[in-house]
Amino acid sequence: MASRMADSELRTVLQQQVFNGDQERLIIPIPVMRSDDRRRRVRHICLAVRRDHGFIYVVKQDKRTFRKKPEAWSLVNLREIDGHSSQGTRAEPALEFDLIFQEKDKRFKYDWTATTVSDKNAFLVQLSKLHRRYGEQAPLKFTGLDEVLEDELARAALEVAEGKERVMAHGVPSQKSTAEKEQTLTVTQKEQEDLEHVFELSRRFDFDGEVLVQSLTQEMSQMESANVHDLMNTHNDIDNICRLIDQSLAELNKMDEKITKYHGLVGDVSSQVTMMDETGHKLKLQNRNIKKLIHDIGIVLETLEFQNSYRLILMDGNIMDPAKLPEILEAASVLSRILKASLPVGFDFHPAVIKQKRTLDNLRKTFGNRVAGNLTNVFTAYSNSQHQKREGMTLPSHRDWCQNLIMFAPAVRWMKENISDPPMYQNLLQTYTEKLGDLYRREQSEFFDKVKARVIYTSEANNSTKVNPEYWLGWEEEVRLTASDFTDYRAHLEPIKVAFHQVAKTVLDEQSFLVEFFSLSTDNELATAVSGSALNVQDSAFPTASGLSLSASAMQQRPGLMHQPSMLRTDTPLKMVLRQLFKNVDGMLGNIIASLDKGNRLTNLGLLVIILEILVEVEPVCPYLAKCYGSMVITVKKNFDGYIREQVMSIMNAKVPRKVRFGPLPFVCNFEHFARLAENFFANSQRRIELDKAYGILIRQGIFEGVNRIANHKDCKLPPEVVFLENYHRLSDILSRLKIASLEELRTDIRKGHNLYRKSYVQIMLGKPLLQVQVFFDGVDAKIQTSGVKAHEVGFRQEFSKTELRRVLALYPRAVVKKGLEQLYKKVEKQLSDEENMLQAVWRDMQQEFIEQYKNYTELIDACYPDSKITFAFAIDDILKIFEEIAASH
Amino acid sequence: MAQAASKKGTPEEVHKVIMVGSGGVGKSAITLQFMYDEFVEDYEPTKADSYRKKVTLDGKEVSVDILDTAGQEDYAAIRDNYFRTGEGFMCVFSLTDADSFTALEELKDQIFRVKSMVKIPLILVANKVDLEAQRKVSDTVLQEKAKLWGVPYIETSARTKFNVDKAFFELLREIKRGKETQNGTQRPKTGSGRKKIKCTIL
Repeated sequence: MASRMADSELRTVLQQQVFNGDQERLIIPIPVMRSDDRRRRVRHICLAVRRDHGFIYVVKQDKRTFRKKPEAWSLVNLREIDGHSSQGTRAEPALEFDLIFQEKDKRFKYDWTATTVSDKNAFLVQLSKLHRRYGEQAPLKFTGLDEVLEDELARAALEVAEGKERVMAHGVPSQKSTAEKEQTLTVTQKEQEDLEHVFELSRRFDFDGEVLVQSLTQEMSQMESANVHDLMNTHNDIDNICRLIDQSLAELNKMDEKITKYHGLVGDVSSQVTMMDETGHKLKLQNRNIKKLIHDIGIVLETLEFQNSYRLILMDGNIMDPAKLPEILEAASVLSRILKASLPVGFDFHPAVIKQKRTLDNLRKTFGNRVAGNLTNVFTAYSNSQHQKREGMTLPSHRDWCQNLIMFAPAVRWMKENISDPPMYQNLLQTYTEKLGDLYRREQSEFFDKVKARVIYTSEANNSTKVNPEYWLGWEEEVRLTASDFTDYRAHLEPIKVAFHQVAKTVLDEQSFLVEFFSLSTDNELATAVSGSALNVQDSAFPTASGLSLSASAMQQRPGLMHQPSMLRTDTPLKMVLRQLFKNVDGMLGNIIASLDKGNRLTNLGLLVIILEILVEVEPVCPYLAKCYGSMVITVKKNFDGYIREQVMSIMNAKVPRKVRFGPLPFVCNFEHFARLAENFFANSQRRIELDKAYGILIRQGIFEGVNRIANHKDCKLPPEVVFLENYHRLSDILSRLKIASLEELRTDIRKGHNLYRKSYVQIMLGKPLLQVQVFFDGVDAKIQTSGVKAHEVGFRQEFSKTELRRVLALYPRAVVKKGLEQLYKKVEKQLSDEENMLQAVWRDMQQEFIEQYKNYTELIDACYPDSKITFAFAIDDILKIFEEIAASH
Repeated sequence: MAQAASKKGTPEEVHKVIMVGSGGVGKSAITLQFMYDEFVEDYEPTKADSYRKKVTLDGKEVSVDILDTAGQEDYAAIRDNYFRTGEGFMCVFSLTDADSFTALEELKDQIFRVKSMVKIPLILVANKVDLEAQRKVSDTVLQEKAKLWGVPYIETSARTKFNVDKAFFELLREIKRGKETQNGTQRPKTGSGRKKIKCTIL
């Protein structure tokens, strides 16, 4: 901007100093240097207009004074401009430019260098413009233009062509400010014409100023008078216009009045129309309401209408007639549908509706009473009917009777759903429960009498042949159980099995009847919805499936645990009804169980399986039986646990056999038979965990302790090791044969125990047959340990001299050794039983052990008395020979 | 009904079988299969174990006492005693181990020396027949040996229990037959002896 200001200042200064006098107008000056000027003096090349011609001047500057060079080039003669740039490239444009003029036949070339590209471009643009305007003779030829300059030149050419061009003081039109514009002496076409006119006049009057002024004044006054005329004319026109406006206003007022009037009229009409609209709407609404009312009344009439035929049949129809029953049931269902139907809003309070409803309600109660009465009669009659005595052990089936009654199930359901006050359904159910309960009680007591008789009969039959009905492990002798014992045992338990199955069958039949006939739900989960009954709390022990695996004793110890499920489970109505119907079953079954337990405690084993199996069957289908049988399981389990404890006691009380070589103890052998009986019964039971637990108790607490007790008993004539090794041998054999998975670990332990006792028996019995030798070498060893004497130096000690050793060894000639071993063999032979056949195995170990002792001594002799050639009186071959002789001697 | 095992009644017949053979040929495995129908994979050398089993032999219940012996015994003389008590011998070798077959020769000689009898109930048992691919002893060689010894032979597999029971029953019958012939020759003697005593008492 500063440079621009300087430019404009320069131009002003130049215009004043250099060009003013000549009536020349400076268009654009730019500072340049001559290309060939070594001193690089700054000059200004100026483009100016004089008259109708463009000229180019060169102005020299000397401090603040400028001096124009006398020669000037007319643009007319300008032929060519060379911009010194390579055409069409974007390379940095050159500052140099050449101006080539032609005058007549001579060409002049002037080389210049601008200080800036913009100066150069501006200059050339202005130059081209002026040339177009004033130098029309020959077109300018441009060479060496860069792209920017070429564009600007093209734009300038276009502006000139469109006539928009104004002569400007500065060459860059787009960047000119208005202030600068005002400074420029612009000459419009009109002004120019005026000026030319003035110049014409001046020429005509031959530059006579006076005349010119006069003429101008004259013209001026003429123009002023013309202006006054114009003004006068204008005033009249204004007056006319004002008048016209007034007239218009008056007209407008009139129109306005009219409009107001019309508006009022339209308003009246509109309000009338609105009123009519409202009336029409009300009429429509009324119409609709009437229609709706008629429709609703229609519905009410239709809904509440009850055919007379229906009424009659409900009042008098024979309910017990299967042919008529469907019709009656249909009438009843229609009636209940009517009574339940919801009427359109408000009709419930209509007197007629109330009356009709009351009538129908009475009809409902009447019918309900009839149904209840009839069914009560049916129940009573059935309960009182004489039933024939039954052969065999079965509970009578009521399926046929139930089947006949099922057709009334819809009527009962109708009653349950439709009559709650009075509680006819509940009353009917109560009656049923009482009547049928009586019947069941009678039938069951007869049935259970038979069962009991059978149980007692079979147990007596058993007793007659059996040594003792209760198979105690601790008996004095081994008691074998045969296959027939197993079948007898099953037969003995058969009545109770039948009893449980019969009861279950009856209960399940009854349950399905109750579900179907009285619409009671079997759903266990519903139980929570029904409020708990007082009955529930007193039966504290309700075993769940998982609860059963707990031992009875554990249950007793933690009663709280058993309370929990029962507290959480509240009874369903179905369960409560079943409990009432079969309230004697618990007691009767309990009796049988108690008498079996009393008669033969062994039965608890089988009972447990029987009840567990049936419980698994009924548990998911009948909550009542699940609970009832569940508590039986607990009782039996308790009895069973007691029985196992008594078995353990019987083992602990077993007598010491009188025989010297008694071999395996009776309770060890009896365990096998007991286990076989139990396995036979539990074979397919999934509840053998109870049995496996019992085995564990019998072996660990019974047999192990029992063997231990006998082995260490004062009356026992055998070394304890023999008792242990033989009985553990037998027990391991038994367990191997039984193959009871839960006892595998125990079997391994027993096997290990047997080996341990066998080893210690061998060591104890064999002892140190060469005792003096042992004593001698014990002394040697002590010497070596305490005095730090080396092994091979021991022989120099008095007490361990070679002579001493020879003396000790001489104590054992072959004959003595042989005698000792023969005696040992006989002794062992007397202690070990034939049954367990352990003699050969034990004797083999003893031979081995003796040889090892001998070899140990010879090694010691070699170590302590090297090269002494001292040996036993017998060689190892002699020992082997002795063994052969002992073998050959029996 | 349940019977007290009477120890006073007629003593049941007991046949004593000795398992003979090198170590690892499967004597214990055969015994355990016969006794308990079980096959134990783990090998643990036996010292000496005794077993008793009741079996029905040709319609008659008898007891079998089995002495399962050590295959590796440092001193052969140790065997003398139980060889002496044995009534029948199951000479076991492994078909996969030719040495075990050869070793039987010595054992058989010891048995005959100890028992000092001409005819001894003995069965040649070729075990591990299930390992056919590793077989080292051919059928012909086996046949020849049995013929030479004048004893029956049988191929068994303790793993699959193939022929195990058969081997025992065959041997038991041999024992039974042996005892019968023995008794047959001895009975007149004992019978007369008893009569004599009775006579004296009377």
